[in-house]
Amino acid sequence: MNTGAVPTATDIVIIGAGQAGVQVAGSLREAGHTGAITLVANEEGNPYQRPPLSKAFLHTPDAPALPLRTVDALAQRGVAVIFDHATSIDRSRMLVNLPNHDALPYGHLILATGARNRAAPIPGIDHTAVRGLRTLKEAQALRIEIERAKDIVVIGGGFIGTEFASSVAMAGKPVTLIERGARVMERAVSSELSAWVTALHRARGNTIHLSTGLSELEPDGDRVILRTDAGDLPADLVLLAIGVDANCELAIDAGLATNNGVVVDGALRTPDPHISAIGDCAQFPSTHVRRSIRLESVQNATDQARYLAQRLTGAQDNDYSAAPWFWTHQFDSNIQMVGLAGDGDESVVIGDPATSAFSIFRVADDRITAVESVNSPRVHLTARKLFMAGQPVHTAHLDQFRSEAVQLSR
Amino acid sequence: MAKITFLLHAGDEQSVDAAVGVSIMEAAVINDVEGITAECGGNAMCATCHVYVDEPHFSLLPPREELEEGMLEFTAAPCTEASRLSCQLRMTAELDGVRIRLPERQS
Repeated sequence: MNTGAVPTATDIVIIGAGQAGVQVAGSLREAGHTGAITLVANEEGNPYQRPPLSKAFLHTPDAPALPLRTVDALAQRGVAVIFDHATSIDRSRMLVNLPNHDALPYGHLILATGARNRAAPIPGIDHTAVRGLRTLKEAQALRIEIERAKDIVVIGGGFIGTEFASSVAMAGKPVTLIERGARVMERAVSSELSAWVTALHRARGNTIHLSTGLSELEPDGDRVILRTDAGDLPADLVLLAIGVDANCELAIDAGLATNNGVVVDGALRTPDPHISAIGDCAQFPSTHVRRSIRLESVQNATDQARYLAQRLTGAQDNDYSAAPWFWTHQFDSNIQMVGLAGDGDESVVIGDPATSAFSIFRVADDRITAVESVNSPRVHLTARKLFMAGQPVHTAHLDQFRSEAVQLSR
Repeated sequence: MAKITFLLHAGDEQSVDAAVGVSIMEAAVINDVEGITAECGGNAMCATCHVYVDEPHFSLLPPREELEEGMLEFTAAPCTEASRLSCQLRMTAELDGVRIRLPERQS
């Protein structure tokens, strides 16, 4: 076998029942894989959709979680779900060790272990008023806390922090958000978009403090006082949203290379031919930015899962090369992104930001590297098609977007 | 509660009850109806909740908005006049009895 297809009767074990794990299980069956497929899930209940948890879910008291697939539906496709926390991988005997079940033998192992909220080594951070937002349980608890809270502070201006701030403000409770960096969503968007989102939050009642560090949380009974560069902030609910770390422990213990994530090659293989990794936990060589990256998105999880299922069943021989796209809701605005910009890339704004319908094109040399579309779905979809064609997107395309923008503004 | 009848591609029918306000996609996913994937969780970003809606209910639906219209070009199965993204269709009393045909594949 060349790229690592496996015999169709191979037993496959998937550690992780999030977006990537559940998708690869379903895709393997769709591709005709007949061997056993077992998902190891470390959360009880039906595998669920994560993106809704930072949006309307937070201000809709009885909204249920949306399943990815129910355990029953998975069973009907011949995918077994084991609820347990894998403790180690025995690569020589090809077993996954579990504390509450017999060791699971695998013919091929897929790590879809995802990521977890990053901790902050700040004195007082473990006060009960400080919460995270990653799992369904955390979202359900937070939803209850939001209802009774009066002074809400968010630590971290990334996608989760800003979406949380939007949701809560829309429910009538503006928040104060502190961000250590110079702008919000710094890792992921242009400075122009950061500025626009910040202005939107401020216009809708949120307080945003940039370049603001946090040195300590002082307890005040059930409340805390945050000692920040912007002064003391009293709070009865604090969301800690400073990012996530890939869950690499199993890989590290098993001697697999890790570096911000589980390192894989262009075919999503670890150095062990019987082990692959996908989704939030996988550090892979991107064909779009010519360096190794780890992407935290629904698109990355599902595209990598689908690709891996094709590769394992012999239907795919090329390296993974899907175009990255992403979306975020900020108040009533829908922001959609495609591609991956470099830090130094220039920005070309098409459309008028004051109308709240515009796009920002990131450019390097004669290529468009990314497109950020604010309330401009047609631009996003046109851009997505260009990126999905698999070739570099030439800046000549900007003319087409410009003339369409002129049309729309008539 | 309103009734939705899903016609699976293989030929079976599956009827579910859905509360007013729930999307057809949500009703399918929660009830384990095979054939709707909904990868993006209902944000009109993935086109994997694609369905065909039978008359007379098709005409009662609100028209396709810009994002849905554009996303329908990304469906894995053919897009027809009857195509909609089921995450954009919320149940109303009027839609009681709606018949939803599922495409051969979503990706």
